[in-house]
Formats: sequence, C-alpha cells, structure tokens
Amino acid sequence: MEFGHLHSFGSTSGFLHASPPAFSDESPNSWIQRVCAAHQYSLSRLKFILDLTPSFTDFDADLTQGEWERILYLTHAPPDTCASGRASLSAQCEGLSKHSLLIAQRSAPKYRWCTLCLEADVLPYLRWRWRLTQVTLCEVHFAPLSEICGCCGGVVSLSAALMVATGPRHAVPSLSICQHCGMFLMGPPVDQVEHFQEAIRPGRVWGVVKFLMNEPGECIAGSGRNRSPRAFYLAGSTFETGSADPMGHVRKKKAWSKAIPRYKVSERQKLAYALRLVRKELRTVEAIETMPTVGQ
Amino acid sequence: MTIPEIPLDTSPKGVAVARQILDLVVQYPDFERIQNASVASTNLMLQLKMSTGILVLAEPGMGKTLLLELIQRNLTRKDNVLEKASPVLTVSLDSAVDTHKIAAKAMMALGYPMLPSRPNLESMTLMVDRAIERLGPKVLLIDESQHMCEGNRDITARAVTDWLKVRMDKHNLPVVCAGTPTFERICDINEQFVSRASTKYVLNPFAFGDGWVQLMQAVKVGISLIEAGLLETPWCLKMLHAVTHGNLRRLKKLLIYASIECADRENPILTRDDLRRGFDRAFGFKEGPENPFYVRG
Repeated sequence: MEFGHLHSFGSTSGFLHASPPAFSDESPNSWIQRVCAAHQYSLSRLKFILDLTPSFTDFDADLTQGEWERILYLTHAPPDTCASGRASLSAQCEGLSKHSLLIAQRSAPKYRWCTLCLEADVLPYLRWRWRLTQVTLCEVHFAPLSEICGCCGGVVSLSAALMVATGPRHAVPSLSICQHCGMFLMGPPVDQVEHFQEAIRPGRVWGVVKFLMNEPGECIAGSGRNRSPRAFYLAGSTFETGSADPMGHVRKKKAWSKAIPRYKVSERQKLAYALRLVRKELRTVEAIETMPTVGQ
Repeated sequence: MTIPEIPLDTSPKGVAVARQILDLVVQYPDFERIQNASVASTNLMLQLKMSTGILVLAEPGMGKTLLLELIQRNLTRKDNVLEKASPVLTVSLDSAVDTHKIAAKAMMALGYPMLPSRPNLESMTLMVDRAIERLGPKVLLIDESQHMCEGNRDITARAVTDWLKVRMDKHNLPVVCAGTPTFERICDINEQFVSRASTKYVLNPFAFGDGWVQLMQAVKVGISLIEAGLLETPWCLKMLHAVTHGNLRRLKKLLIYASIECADRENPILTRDDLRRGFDRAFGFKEGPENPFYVRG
C-alpha cells in the first residue's frame, strides 16, 4: 500500500505509531476508540488527521475502502484488522438503510453489550455483532445483551472518544465503564436497584465518604444529557477558602460542610456511585476471604 | 559619520555568489574527525546494544547543526536501495525546554501527526516509547542542547536529561547532543547522564596558523563565481582572522557581503575595498580605523 499524497493528508502528516492491534471480532468503532485512547486524541482531532469530515460519526458502516486502507496504513495495522466486522456490516447494509440494521442514537453508533464477555475481557472491547439491531443474545454465553447501564440507565453511545478527557467530560478508563455514571457496565441489573438502594442508605454516613468521587479522586463528569460538570468532594477534604477547587471554580467563603454538595446531584447518580463502592467493598471482602492464610 | 548608500535590491549575480558561499561546506580535519568518530561510535553502539551518547560542544557558528546533518545523512545512507533504513531522529531544542517540551518534540520527530488533545507528560512519554519500539531509530540527534542548562535551571536540566537517560536505557538508543560550551554544565548537574554520554568532542574556533591557511585555500577554491585570490595573501589571511576570530559563521557573513560588492563588476575580482564595505554591512557601519579594512588617505 503506497500513499504518495500522505504528506498533504488532512492538513497534516505522520503516523499513529501507538495504535493497538484490533481483536478479531472487534467492531471498527471500538478499535478507533482504543486508537484515540492510545494517542489521547479526541475523535474530532482524529477525524482531522484522517481527513474525514467533522460530521462523520460511524466507522462501522460509513467508511469507504480507500479511507479504511488509509487508516490501516497510518496505524501500521495489518490488512485483516476488523475484517470480519467490516465485511459483515457492509454486506448486511448493502442496498438497505443502515439505520434499520445498526443501532444508533442521534446518528452516533450505539452498542449493546454482554456483561459476561466484558467481565471476562482483560482489555474490554465492543464486538461488532452487538451493534446489530436483530442480535439480542450473546453468541458465546447465550445471555441477553444489555442495552442500558444497570446503575444509571445510560446507553453506550460512541459519539466522542470516551477514553480521552476533552472539554468538561472526563475520560472513562476502559470501554467496560459507563460513560454517564462511571460504574462498570456489568453492574447489577435495573430490577435489583431497589435492593441495593436499601443497602446503600446507611452508606450515606459511612465514615467520611458522604459525597461522590471517582476512584482517582476526581470529580465525576456530567452525563451526556447535561454537559455541565458536576463536582463531588470528600467531606473530610479541606480546601482553603477562596482558593480554586479541583474543578477550577473559585470557592466563595462558605463552610464546606454546608456547601456540599455544591452542584446539583441527582439521587440516581449518588446511588450509582454508592453501588460502585459496595461492589468494591464486596470484592475486597471476597479477596480477603479467598486469600490463603500463611502457613496453610 | 556618513552611511554609504546601499541598493535595496541585490543583483542576480550577487545573489548567486552569496548563495554559493552560503552553501559552501568545508570539511576541515577536526570537523571530519568528529563526524567520522560520531558515526563510528553510533554504529558500534547499535551493534553492542549499549545505551550511550556523545556530547559535541562548540562556539556558535562553528558548524554544530551542519555536523548533525552530516551525521544524519551518513547514518541514513542506504547501501541497498531496497533496504528500509531505520530513521534518525532529529530534535532541535528551544528556550526554556523542560520534560514536556522535549517529549513533545520527540513525538513530532517520531512522526506523530499531532500532539494529544491534552498533552500531559505521561501520555506523551508512553507514545514516544511505543513509537521508538515500533520504529527502532538508529540515533537521537539533539541540537541546541545548551538550552537545557541556560539560566538557573539545574532542576529542569536534571529532569530533562533523566527523561533522556530512561529512553536511552530502555531502548538502547544512542543520543548525540550538540550545544554551545554552556552545555558543559550538564557534567555537574546530572552525573548519571554524563556517565552514559561520556564521549565529549569540542570544536574550537580556528587558531591563526596552517589550519586557517588551509581553510582559506579551500574557501577560495569553493568560490568560483568571483576571483578571490586576495584571500590567500598573508595580509588578508591575518586580517580576516583578526576580524572573524576564527569563527566560520562570521567569515561566511563577511565574504558574502564582500562578494556581493564585486559580483556586478565586469571583472569580478575581490578587493580590499570590497572587504571594507562587506565588513560594514556584515557587522555594522564603523568609521575610520574601527574598520580593519579601512585604507588611510
């Protein structure tokens, strides 16, 4: 494959050396998400590099063969990258409206997922079959595919590079994390939320944790519906009055204990984080229980 | 003081002779020796898979950048047309360089099209490491290395050289750093780096002697568009050395302006008067004895 016009390519030139290899059944959109994450490029930046129009959204079905070959060339990827996904998706879409075959949300690619597959993945990725409207069962586990996050009810929509922090949106560490609430997508199903809600109630006064933060101690991002950032702080944290908080907002002189939570947080989001804490706690307990005792 | 009138546009002949002098590459013995030694050391480092480096120190205008270019040309030369040569990375540092800037420069040198959306050191370093693993470059050439040590920046210089040191160790990547003698301070700042980049070459300005005479002979041969026999006269040799302090950039500058003065004449022979006017244009107007080429009376 030779591209003599590479140097005038998308107003820029160069190669995406850090691109990861794709999995055999990975969807092109999922691989592109991981390419973005490896380079910390936003989706719009990557589209600029690849000379795609800003309105381009779907790498599963909208790319021409030439455009795909250029992407493979720039990423040093082998020619069979995402081959099965691309071939099947384009074959199914041929002569038909792709919107009737592929799930989408406001023209952005949307995916279902198998919680068991994601749980088993060392490096979570989205399979191309999960994009098809008709596919509702996992072909490996024969389990029904999930469509909404068990914690917040959000969907997996790849309208942006989810693993890259851009604008007010925070990055998720992997594709198995909900982009809206930051919980694992393999969390408890919606019908069990009430049960967890009961369990969480005492959790509101657990130690110093009264407010919601993600694991590295950053503020959780706003959801896709509400782009304004929402901040949560540890009640035990002390910040000087008048100084900038982690979100860059300068605090007014106010007692923190009265000011928290500073931003409006829905009960559902509080619950989502609390659920995550419970899961973490349970895992720790499980790990301790299964830990071999010294001398045994 | 009266400032002589200078034409706004240089004639095509003047531009041609100026271009000829500007492009003139004189391979004098010290320069050639350092070039060959650097290429030989780099090749050896690659064969031994040993992380090591070379420091080249020289005054401004002594040909550091040219030296790096020649090393790069030498290392990327392919014996076989079908052979895919490993790349040679070239980075030119600018003022206030720190670990972020050197990582960003290395990223661009490796061929990434753009910096990350939020360029933080961790992600850039990771990308640099991945690209080095993938491309396997032969050597990293760093020009203007003195910017690491300029000012009160010991902590930053240590951090930058530590970053380099880790890349050298991790990928067995030889590094050639060229800079002004200010860069020598790195020996006190980061001993770990200097223990790896232990080879140090110094390009000194020319002393007045045989070397200078040979250089001027080579320059005279290289300038074919005008008759520059004057350059070989003992008086001119002495005077040019006094004016340029044995510095090549100053010499080229003076000769360019002097040659432009005589290029348009029917018989383009370089004269003392051309050198006087050339000196004025190259180093600012100086009246009377301040201009060494000034002729009394």
